[in-house]
Amino acid sequence: MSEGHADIIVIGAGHNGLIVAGYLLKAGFSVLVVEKNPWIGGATSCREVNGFKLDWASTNHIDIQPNPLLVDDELQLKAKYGLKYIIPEVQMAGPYPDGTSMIIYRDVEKTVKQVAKLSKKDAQAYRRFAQWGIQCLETILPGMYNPPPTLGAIVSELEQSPDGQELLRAMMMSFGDIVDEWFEDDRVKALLLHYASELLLPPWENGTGSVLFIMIPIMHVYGMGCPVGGSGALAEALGRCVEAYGGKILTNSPVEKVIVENGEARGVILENGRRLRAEKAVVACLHPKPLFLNMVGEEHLEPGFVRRVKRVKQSAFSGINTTYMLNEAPRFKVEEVNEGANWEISWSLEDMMELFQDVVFRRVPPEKPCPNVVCWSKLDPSRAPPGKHSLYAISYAPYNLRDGGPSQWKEIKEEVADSVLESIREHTTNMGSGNILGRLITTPVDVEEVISSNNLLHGDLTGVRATLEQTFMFRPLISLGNYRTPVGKLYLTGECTHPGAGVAGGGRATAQVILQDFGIKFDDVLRKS
Amino acid sequence: MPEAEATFTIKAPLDRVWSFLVDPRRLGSCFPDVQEVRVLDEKTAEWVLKVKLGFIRKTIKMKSTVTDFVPQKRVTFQGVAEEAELSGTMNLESGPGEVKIHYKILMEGRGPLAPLMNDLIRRRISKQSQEFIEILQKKLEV
Repeated sequence: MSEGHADIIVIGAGHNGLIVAGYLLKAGFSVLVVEKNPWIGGATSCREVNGFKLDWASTNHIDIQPNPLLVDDELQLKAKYGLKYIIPEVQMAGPYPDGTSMIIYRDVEKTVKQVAKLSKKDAQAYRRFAQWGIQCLETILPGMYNPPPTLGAIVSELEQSPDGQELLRAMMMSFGDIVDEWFEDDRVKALLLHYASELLLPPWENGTGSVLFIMIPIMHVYGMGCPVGGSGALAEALGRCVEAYGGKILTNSPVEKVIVENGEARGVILENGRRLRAEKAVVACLHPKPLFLNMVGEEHLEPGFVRRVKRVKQSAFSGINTTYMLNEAPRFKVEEVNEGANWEISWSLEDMMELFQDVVFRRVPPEKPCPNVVCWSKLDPSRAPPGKHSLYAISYAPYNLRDGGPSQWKEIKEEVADSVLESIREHTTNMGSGNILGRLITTPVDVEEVISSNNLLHGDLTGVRATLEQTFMFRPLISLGNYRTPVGKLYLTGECTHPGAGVAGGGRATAQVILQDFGIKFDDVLRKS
Repeated sequence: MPEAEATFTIKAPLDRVWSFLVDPRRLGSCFPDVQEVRVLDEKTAEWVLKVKLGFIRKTIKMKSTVTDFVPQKRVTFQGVAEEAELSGTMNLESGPGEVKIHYKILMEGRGPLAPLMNDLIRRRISKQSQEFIEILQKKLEV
């Protein structure tokens, strides 16, 4: 590969772009990755401030845990490139103002015992829910990290069994209705709704009902976790892998245009005018709107396709993330939950539902913010200077503020962050100003403008909305569901494609399609050392 | 495509091992997923397998063909079903009171569920290969 020339150019060094690069390099292609930012990782990146490693976008890595990329260490990220995950026994805890708590452990029975303190009936239900969910996961997993089958193929297989039909039903429902059907105690419901709403969708959104049958069993079977060193450690390991295979990553290299000649992608033009040639393909780890409407250009696309790109929907809300540098880890008033490092502050079911109403109708700050609070430094000392701690607190918030629009965020971000902090203070004993050494606020606008302007539009950390009409073969839209695009030799990867939202490692599926198009068997690549 | 390759020994006479391996019905009894084998002629057979993938239950009908063989030394075969295809070779080497078998099988998913089938095959092929060896040894070693 010469300086401006490679078999494959990957636009965007988010974790999926790097994963695609890794597999293609392993297959023998030369790969050049171009990244707009001075750092790699996109939403899987950290900010280092005075020795504190702060996750400013993603922190909990859930959907990637069952990915064969990690389970079988297909790119040797763990064996050779330093990736190590912390998977805690206490997966998630929700303290309540009445002094009770809901805790989800890795172990199902331990969780059942905990739920029984709130409701004996819900404890039995939780056991059935988790067990059925584990079977769902077995059904769904093969489709998650491989190119998605057609919806018709999925439906025709699932409708042949009663359990399959139940799963189909769940896929069409809202996760709120699922939780209502299975559980009765408001505290149990609140935690589960809070967790599922990390899809950045409210509980009444149809087409989301299967999400808990993925997220909950993953916690029990694989465990949700975070890499040692922070969310960015995943991208760093991938970066080392790419470079070890001879790939090159160019940072500070924003792309202005995709070069299209005779209907095929032939390279890219950077914003500084430099042209980079791709002999075989271009892979874009980007949101389809900036990719097709700006970088490719409507002149190369059919009007019907352009209309479908323009109608891609974003999630219902985003979030404001405040990361804190602390003298000590937070101590919750509900002592039981101090065993963990990951908390959902839900107040009550009613408060959660009001929060959803507020953020969907673009009102901030909400009466009672319900942040997800994570303190990985309790389990990973590398996250902070000795004896200190870092804290991540994300609370749902709209991108487009009702009063003043997105530009108003710079005016109100401190006030909103303060209200989230107040919510945390109500539940803890030690989050006064004496414990706080500093904080970093990341608003939805910051996510879009600073972290990933061509990927996380409107600060949407899930890429694009993850309802049924934008999942599987329809993610992000019909005709892009299998990573190929209407432009020859141009592929799309990233959160905006299957399997979608969050840190899932879907680049593995994209790589399979690209390899197939070049007549290379994926299993032959896996067998290479 | 996913593959399985193994070398193992069976403490049994070559005659007994060979006649077992070239009998599709008896060979089929070494695979828990195989429900039935119908011999069509001396080189072809139809295998009926039931596989479970969570809530998905599939009945797979695969037609196998012996494409080449050298008696008591080697057999090469292929199998085709709507959902998957396979090819493989088994080599036998006789030793005192035992037979060394080396086999290699490649399998690949087909059709609209090919990526799922490939994933299923990848996850299970090593385990099923090991199960096959254990069952075969049990059946043939006295």
